Amino acid sequence: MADSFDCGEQQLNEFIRRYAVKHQGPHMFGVTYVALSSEVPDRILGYYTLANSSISRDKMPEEVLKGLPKYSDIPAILIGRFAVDTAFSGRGVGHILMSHALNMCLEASKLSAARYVLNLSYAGAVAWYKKYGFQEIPSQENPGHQKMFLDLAVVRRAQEMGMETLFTVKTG
Amino acid sequence: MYHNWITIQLTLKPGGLGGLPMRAAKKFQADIPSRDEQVLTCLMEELEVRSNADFLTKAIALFRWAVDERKRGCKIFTMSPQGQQRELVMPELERIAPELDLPFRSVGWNIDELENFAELATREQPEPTEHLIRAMARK
Repeated sequence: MADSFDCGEQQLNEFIRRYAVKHQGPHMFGVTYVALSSEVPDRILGYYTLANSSISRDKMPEEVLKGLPKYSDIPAILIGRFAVDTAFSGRGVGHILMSHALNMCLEASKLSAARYVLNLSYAGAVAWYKKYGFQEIPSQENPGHQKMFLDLAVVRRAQEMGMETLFTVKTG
Repeated sequence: MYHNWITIQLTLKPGGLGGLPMRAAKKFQADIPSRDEQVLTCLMEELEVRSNADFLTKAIALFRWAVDERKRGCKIFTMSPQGQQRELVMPELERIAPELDLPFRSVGWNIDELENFAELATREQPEPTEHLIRAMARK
């Protein structure tokens, strides 16, 4: 099933084909969620991985620490990998996966506190993540990969606003 | 080999994959004991539901919501006007509830990135985008 997965990025293809099961099982490096459809039962439409992570507060300069909580590390949830098979691109699979991922991040943050969603994006996908409110973290290093973040408080606010559009109260 | 993955079942947008035809409505018949028949009648009256088909549709919607919530790890509670809480526990629902136990993974940060992150994070955060609101509403 995983052998036929092709998102156009060799590293992401290799991960789902060879490493995802090991990372989730014996190594405990990340949890992989795969999207399947009964319409094509033998194919993986897309996948993403989640892990807890953190942002080292200790290494931040004093002048930028004023507004941040006084913990040694700032807890975050990492979307380590995110990919959609090119055969199913343009059909809403990425949006459904992102919806699932962010809802999972919000739920996970209730169990083990997290403030931010982190994402390591390929350069070509930065604009797509920005549509969901992810912000680029400028860096001189890591060419080809872009660290991005999204405040979970913004995600929670979006959920509240989404609920407002789902349910309307009749009056009178 | 793949049983460890957590799967998300997708229903793709209308038109589906390669224009596969949409399925016709499925016929559903069930024999219910007489005591449940009375319960069914009472429920339909209370809910002002006029047909078995309509009742089934609403029951599926409610069950689907409950399954979706438990799949995301949410617990289902009722709260009385006095604030007393009762949790809905069904073995079928508990079987599908995931254990949200994420492993830890360290990400390498350089000083440059940490400075930029801190500067961005301490700004007033922007309002949710339309895409984000739709994603959180599962639309």
